[in-house]
Amino acid sequence: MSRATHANRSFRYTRRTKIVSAVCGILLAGVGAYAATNWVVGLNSGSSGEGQSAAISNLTISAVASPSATNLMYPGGNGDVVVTISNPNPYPVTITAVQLPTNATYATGYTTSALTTQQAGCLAATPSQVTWNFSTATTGTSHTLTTALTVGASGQANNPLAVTLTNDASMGATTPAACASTYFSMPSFTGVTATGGAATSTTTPATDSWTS
Amino acid sequence: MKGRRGTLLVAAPIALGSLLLVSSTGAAWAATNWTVTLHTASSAEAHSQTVPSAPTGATAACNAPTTARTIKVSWTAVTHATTYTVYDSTTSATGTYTSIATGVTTTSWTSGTLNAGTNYWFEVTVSVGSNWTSAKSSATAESTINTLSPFCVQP
Repeated sequence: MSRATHANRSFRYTRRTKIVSAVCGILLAGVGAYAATNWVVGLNSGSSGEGQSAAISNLTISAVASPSATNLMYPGGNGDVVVTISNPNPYPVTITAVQLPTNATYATGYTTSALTTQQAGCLAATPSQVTWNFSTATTGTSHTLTTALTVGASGQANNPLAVTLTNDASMGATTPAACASTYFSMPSFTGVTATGGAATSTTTPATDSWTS
Repeated sequence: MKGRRGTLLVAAPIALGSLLLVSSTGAAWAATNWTVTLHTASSAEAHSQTVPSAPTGATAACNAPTTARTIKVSWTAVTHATTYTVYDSTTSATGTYTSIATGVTTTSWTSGTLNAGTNYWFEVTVSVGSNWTSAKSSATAESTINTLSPFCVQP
């Protein structure tokens, strides 16, 4: 092969590479723009997304007794809720909002913070009249957290993240007397809104809330 | 795709529509600023207060002028109180008490004209909401309504 032919082939190869790269860049920008738009997808409980190289796994939000809530509920009043959030993903996940069940979805009362023995006369079906604050008759209403919560990547600091949600449990004025001095397992969130990617994790334990 | 040496990024759309960037070396990381709603069953714990304690500091005082034969009962406010109920006994401090005023929303209550020649003791309960009611307070000191002046005395 002559030098000129070799040079021409190298030139065409390099030029082709540039064209391909440019096309990929355009596609990438387009897809990236699509992905960067805030959109919401509801998945079935326990499902996860599959990618070519990584999976997006659900967060785990669990009841915990510690730190114990100090702002306790009373009939007609609100109280704190305590949770721990675990992130199994290899990157931090930032939660900005939660979605709530209806205001007719009641908590079940238990005799101790272990939430193992139900409190007679204070069950969800009684009803206990304990619900999420600001929940409505519509399921899945979204409520923005006062401060976004970032749970560290799997195996990193601040994962799990303990959070006290201030005044986010509500007790009805006609709650039975059996619901006094009782621990409650709050109804499950119907969803959370979370953004993945690099972020500074929130220090555990944290305090947060939604106020509307 | 291969070209000149170096890392070339390939877009990899996934089922959720989120974007992962996969390098030609095989390393992968999640792009920032993608948002999904993750539906996961969750649990959370809350705790309720005890039934309220009985009101404290219950006292009874003859109203002026004592010719009115009325008594004012007062007590210390209870946190988160919805209403108070006043009871009286005409036999003794440890006798049987009868509800004489319900739905009281202040920390005092004034009786109507009381029966002459009768001794009175008073106790108070507090309710938080409709169904959480405390035990009765300690009895007030005895109040006596006389037929003659002084018409109301606390011995």
